[in-house]
Amino acid sequence: MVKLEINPKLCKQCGWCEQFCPKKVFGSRGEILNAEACSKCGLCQLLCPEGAILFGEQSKERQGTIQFPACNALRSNAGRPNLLRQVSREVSKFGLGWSIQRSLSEPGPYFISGNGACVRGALDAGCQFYAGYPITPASEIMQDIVKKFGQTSIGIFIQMEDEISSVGAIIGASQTGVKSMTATSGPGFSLMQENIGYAVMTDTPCVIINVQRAGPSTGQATRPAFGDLMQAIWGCHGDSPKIVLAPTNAQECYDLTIKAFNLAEMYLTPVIILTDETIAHLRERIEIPGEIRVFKRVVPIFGDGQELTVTGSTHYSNGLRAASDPKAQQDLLDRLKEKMENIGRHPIIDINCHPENKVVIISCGFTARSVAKAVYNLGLDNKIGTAVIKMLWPFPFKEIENAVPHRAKVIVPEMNQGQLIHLIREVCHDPIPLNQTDGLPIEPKTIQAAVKSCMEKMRQ
Amino acid sequence: MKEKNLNWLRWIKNGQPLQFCPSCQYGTILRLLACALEKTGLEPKQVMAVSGIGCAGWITDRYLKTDTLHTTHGRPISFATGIKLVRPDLKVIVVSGDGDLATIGTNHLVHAVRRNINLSVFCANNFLYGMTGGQAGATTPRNAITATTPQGNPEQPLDLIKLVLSLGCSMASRYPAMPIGKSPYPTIDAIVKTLKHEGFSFFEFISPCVTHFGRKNEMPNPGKLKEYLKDLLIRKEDIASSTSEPTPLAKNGKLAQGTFETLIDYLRFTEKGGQQ
Repeated sequence: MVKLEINPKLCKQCGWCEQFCPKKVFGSRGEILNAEACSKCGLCQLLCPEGAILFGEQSKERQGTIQFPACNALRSNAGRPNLLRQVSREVSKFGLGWSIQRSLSEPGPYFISGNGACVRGALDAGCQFYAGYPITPASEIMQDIVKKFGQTSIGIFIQMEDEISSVGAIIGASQTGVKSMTATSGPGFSLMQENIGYAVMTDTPCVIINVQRAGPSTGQATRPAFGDLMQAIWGCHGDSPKIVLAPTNAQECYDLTIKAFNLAEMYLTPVIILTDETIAHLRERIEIPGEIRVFKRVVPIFGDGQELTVTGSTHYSNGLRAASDPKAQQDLLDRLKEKMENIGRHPIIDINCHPENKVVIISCGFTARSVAKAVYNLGLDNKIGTAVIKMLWPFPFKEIENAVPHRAKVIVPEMNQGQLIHLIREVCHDPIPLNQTDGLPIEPKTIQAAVKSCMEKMRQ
Repeated sequence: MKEKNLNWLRWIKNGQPLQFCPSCQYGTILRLLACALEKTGLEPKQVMAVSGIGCAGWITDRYLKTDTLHTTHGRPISFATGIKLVRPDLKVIVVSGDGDLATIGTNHLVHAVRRNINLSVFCANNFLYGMTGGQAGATTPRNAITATTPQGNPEQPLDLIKLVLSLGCSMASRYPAMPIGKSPYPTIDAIVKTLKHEGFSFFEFISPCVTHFGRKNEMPNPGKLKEYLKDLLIRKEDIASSTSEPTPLAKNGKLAQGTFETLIDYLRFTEKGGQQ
């Protein structure tokens, strides 16, 4: 006599067993009508969608609660510095965590474009995977990196069918343990948003370079702009904070790309680097140091045999999907916010302010260089202060608030219709916008004129 | 019946009821997959399951005892591409629905076949968008009533097997999730073949949604659904041996069941009804 049981907790009374049992053992509501007829074929155990039919010694199989490996919890807590420090100490003997590495390129001066500098930075930081789709003015990054991967045979390159799948592929690769990146421009960046949000949700380290061009839509593909600032910070749906960096020259393209990989790997978050067409194509002198500090990820990856569960749905710290638990949702968003707060403790900003400043110019990206030139041309010592924001998110609100004198007028020159100024407004009283959206960089003389007219108004 | 003695249950996470509707065949797909994975001789740590959004995205996420990645809507193949490139030694399987793989994500499916990336893609075809309330999709049969086609679907459904074969896929199978014949073992054998195939392989489970598709189209229970499937699916062997007048299957809305390796192979059975 076969021990045939139906687990009432799992059975949904669908009636499939009545259909597939060759001996007609079951009724239409999942009841056992004729246990004697059972021929022990085992079909019911295989085919019952719910796995509710228990058979012989396997009756015990579906007892107990689900066990998720601890590695899932480690992954979703890795953005917390205490845990990170603790884990880093443990793994340092395996060569993970912080280490000093030799740069791939020979140390010394180079004369390369911003795009080229991003590629050198990525390779020196240990990038081993690139998936991309061609777009002006970011294509050189893809072309350069595939050439370098070929020369050094250290990386994997794939040209995907669109930007959506490019981010998909780098997230997949990143979860499998390699440092990965992609580069794009405005239209492609818009397509990427959904998967960038996914990377935020699943704590996936990856680097996305957005070489901005004049928009909206196709716009002018070979002209610079800084119109994706808000999209980079707030582009994804839901509260999905991520790191946004903005270099101002080729040297910073190199340095901040390395920084981006380190931050991504440390805090398990996507990092967006906002450059623009001018920085990307301007050839400049950069200095490559011989040794670079890089961070290697310390959390489990796919293929380790640890049954990682990664989902873009709201999940508990063990990775288990929590589709409707309010506490899980709250905890997850709190954790992502906390992650950003931790990163925000180390802002990247160049502040050159003085309590006697009459005017302070706050800028980011290529515009910061026009600002520097304008200040130099004006030669008004101590009257003009500057602040160049290189990490746009988490935004250095406190640093700006502390540095800018209360009576100083703040000017915000931007290559858009006013995006950075919204953030400045939170901490500075009535900043003056200086917007230029003709697809050309803002020239120093434009800024000089704005400063002069501002000072005149203050005198009146 | 060697399957009975195999320890395939180790591929399924214990202790929780599945979150599918009653009569949903996705639980069976999970079990067939587990059984086939065990038969291939792989270990759970050698397998990586990627899934998309929708009911079918839940088949592996949470229930299959391997590494699982539950991705955004329509994009599982692109994530799987990244994983496969980094770890070619892993057996990467993609399990997702027809809306996910063949409607919003057709682009990625097409290019994965073109690249011939070594993935096994399993499409659980339930004929519509189940999770969002039964709206028509690219695979909804002609004249079927759904939430967005209350007077019958006016569009031609997409034949996924024909699509992937036309792109050069060298292994594409179509089987029902619940066996309409005597045993599910041919289905399991086909899944094993798909998993062992070198290069891109595609498998389509026909598993109509009872809750949304069945109830609106006069098959509200497994019994009626089985009759419908018996009528819908024609086995490759039956077409080959039939001596009756050839009628293209697509014309009368029928689907060929079996494993196909070339487009010519498939068309021979579907368009010419078994005649060379």
